[in-house]
Amino acid sequence: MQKNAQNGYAPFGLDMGEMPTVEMLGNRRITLEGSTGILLYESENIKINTSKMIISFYGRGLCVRCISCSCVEIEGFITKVEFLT
Amino acid sequence: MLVEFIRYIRGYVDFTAKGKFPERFLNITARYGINLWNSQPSPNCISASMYASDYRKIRFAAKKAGVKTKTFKKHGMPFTVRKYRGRIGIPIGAAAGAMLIVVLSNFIWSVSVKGAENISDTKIIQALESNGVRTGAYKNDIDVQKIERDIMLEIDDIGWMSVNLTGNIASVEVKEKAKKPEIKTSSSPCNIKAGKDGVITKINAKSGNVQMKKGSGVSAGDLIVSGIIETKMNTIQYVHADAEVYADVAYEKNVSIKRNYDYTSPSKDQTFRREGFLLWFKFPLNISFSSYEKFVFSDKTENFTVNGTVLPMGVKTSVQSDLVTVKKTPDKSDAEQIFINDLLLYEAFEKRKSTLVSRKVSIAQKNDEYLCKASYVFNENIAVSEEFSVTD
Repeated sequence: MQKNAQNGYAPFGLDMGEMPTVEMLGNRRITLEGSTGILLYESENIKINTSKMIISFYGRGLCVRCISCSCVEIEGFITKVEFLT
Repeated sequence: MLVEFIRYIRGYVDFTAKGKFPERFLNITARYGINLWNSQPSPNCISASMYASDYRKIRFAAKKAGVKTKTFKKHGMPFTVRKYRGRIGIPIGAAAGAMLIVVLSNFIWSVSVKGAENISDTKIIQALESNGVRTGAYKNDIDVQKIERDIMLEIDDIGWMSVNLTGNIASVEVKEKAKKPEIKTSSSPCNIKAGKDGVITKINAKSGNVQMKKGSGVSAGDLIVSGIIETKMNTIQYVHADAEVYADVAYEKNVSIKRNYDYTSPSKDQTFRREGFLLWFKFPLNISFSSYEKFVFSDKTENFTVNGTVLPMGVKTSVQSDLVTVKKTPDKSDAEQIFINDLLLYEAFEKRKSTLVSRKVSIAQKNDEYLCKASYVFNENIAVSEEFSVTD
């Protein structure tokens, strides 16, 4: 089955493998799928480990709203997102 | 809202996890499918909420992550129930109350009748009772439409009725039939004659040939309005005479009472019996015995009401009054008072269609009794219709 960017999937020719999916609702809420664990949990910085990279969220009043084995939902005022590989 | 409700039912705790790696604690709980929410980070510490049932499972996670957990607030029903665990009466009372509401809501608490003007409410309530609509009746067994039909057939004066079961109250609305005006169908020739002796004061003739004048004295049977009319063509026409003839009629009323007689009346010696009721259950509220040979009794039923809602419970009070017989020897003034009361009743009930013109009362003593002779003159309609055969 072919997927394209218009349908919300990876563009042609790119193998996304086990890349995490990050969904942002403005700069207030982030849903991250593909998490393998939280590395740092502070109100100004949350670092989340995924299989390919570490994603670091900076902001104010950050908190984990909901957490399951592969999904994390973060809420707060997000100012910066870093991808550390 | 639903999530909040489920959390309340299951019960949840607010806790803190203190240690070097609180993030690890989060990861482990997530891996084992333990739900956390409202997590707030602080240096080397996390505060969050979780289900009370999950809290027991996190010991191993805390140990593995090297954190110490401590609850600081408990929410939800399990904790509320536990709080009142020693007071067994409260849950039993709450359960009994809930059950009572469920059970009682299936029964009729009160029956009210509206709209009856000439038909007595008691008659309608009795008809409803005989058809199953009564206090304490099971609501689901009531076939409203059938009951309405049956009662309308039973009580002919009801033109329309509606039995409304609103909550626990059966409110019955009734519309009475409009009475048909009296239509005289008879058109056979007749005369109007005097029904009693008297002096005519007024004649309202609608048809017929008037034979008497105002002031004429008539005896019973005298012709007043004739049904035979002579036309201008000198022919005879037979009509159905119709008239109201008012005349002063004399009456005599004799009343007597003995100078010594036995008078029976209820005394102040009374016995009260109170009976409580809840739907169809009845139970005595007091015990009292009476040994009256003769007595009269009265019953009074009072339902309890809350904010205008009649409840299916109340108190029925029965009062038995002892009947005492005493010998009375009235003097003349007492006898006069008794006679006047008797005569007033006679005028009010026996002569209610007549107008009182005059009344003369004379009281006399004879042997062992008082005699009262009342001479009346009443003004009343003395017209009597009498048909006649044309061949006569």
